[in-house]
Amino acid sequence: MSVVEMLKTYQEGMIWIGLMLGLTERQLLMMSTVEMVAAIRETMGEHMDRFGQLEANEQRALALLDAFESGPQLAPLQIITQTVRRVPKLDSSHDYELGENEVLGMVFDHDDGTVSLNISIIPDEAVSGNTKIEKAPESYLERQIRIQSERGLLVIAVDHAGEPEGLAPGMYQDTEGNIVISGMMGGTISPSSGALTSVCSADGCDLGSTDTLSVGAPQTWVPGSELGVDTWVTPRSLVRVHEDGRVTVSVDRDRIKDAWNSDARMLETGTHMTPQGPVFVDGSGAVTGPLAPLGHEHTRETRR
Amino acid sequence: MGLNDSHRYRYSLITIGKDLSLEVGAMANMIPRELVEAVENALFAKLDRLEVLEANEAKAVAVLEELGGDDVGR
Repeated sequence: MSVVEMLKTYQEGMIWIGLMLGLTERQLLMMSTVEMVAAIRETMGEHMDRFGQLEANEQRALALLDAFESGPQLAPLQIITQTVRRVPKLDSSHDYELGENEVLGMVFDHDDGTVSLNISIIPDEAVSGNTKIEKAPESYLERQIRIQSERGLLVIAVDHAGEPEGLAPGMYQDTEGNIVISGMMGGTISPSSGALTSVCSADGCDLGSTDTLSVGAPQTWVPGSELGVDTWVTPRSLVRVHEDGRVTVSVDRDRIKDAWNSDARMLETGTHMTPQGPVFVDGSGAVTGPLAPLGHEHTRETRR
Repeated sequence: MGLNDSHRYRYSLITIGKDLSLEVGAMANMIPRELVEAVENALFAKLDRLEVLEANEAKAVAVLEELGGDDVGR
């Protein structure tokens, strides 16, 4: 091969490589050998940087997926009724009679606006059907009462007897058989004892003296306005109720600002119902929730 | 243009090929046509992969958007 043929081969190859990298034919033909080599090397470097960044992102995404998929697997919920009976206040001078499958818990207000229910004040052996609670442990009880805010107690009965009734919003069953209630009404019900643990509700404890709730429709639990299909905005969050019932919450500052300056409706502090369950807006405008629908994969994200 | 330009092109092709994970030793033994084709093919494969990665990234961003931006629920 002569030097001229060799040069022609290389030059054509380099021009083609330059074209593949996004340089124009005109640009390439105007360049000297040195310029062409430099331009191609520079463009190549940019592509390789981008490539490295995308591959790193892909690795991170795969690692996240892997962690996600190896987490608890969801199964359809099989129960579902609850009765809630409110006991105004527990003190050590009273006895409490629990009914069939009832458990007893105490409700707490938290600074962030959530409310949680804790049944740990009741000894394990007491958490079963037809158990008479004879004076809860006093010192522990006093400590619990000190940190709670007069919300009183809930007696919660869980009926495990029914036929499978499909999926209830915000609830699913993990691989260990626990029934997990996600979102602000979140918690776990043990299928063996019926114990309801670490339940949270934005305002779920305002149930009156006696309430019966169907977990299949938890929104009946929580008072508050209903949010229709629209874009709602608070100083810190953007809540969108979509046509298909999905509810998305964003804290993207630009989007919030845009919505703020548009006709988006203001979402006031308090609890509001959405097709996916309640959302709670605290005084700062932060939005908690909404409940993810039962059986949807991202219920795992709302699990506490 | 002459031998120097030819050397410069060959050196650049080998360097680009090295960036594309081709073996320098193997490239050094290639005739001009083979070297050009090897680098072109490697670049083509890389750009294909880049396109897939870009598409996946766009999909991931769309999914994140669908889920509600950078914060969904609690």
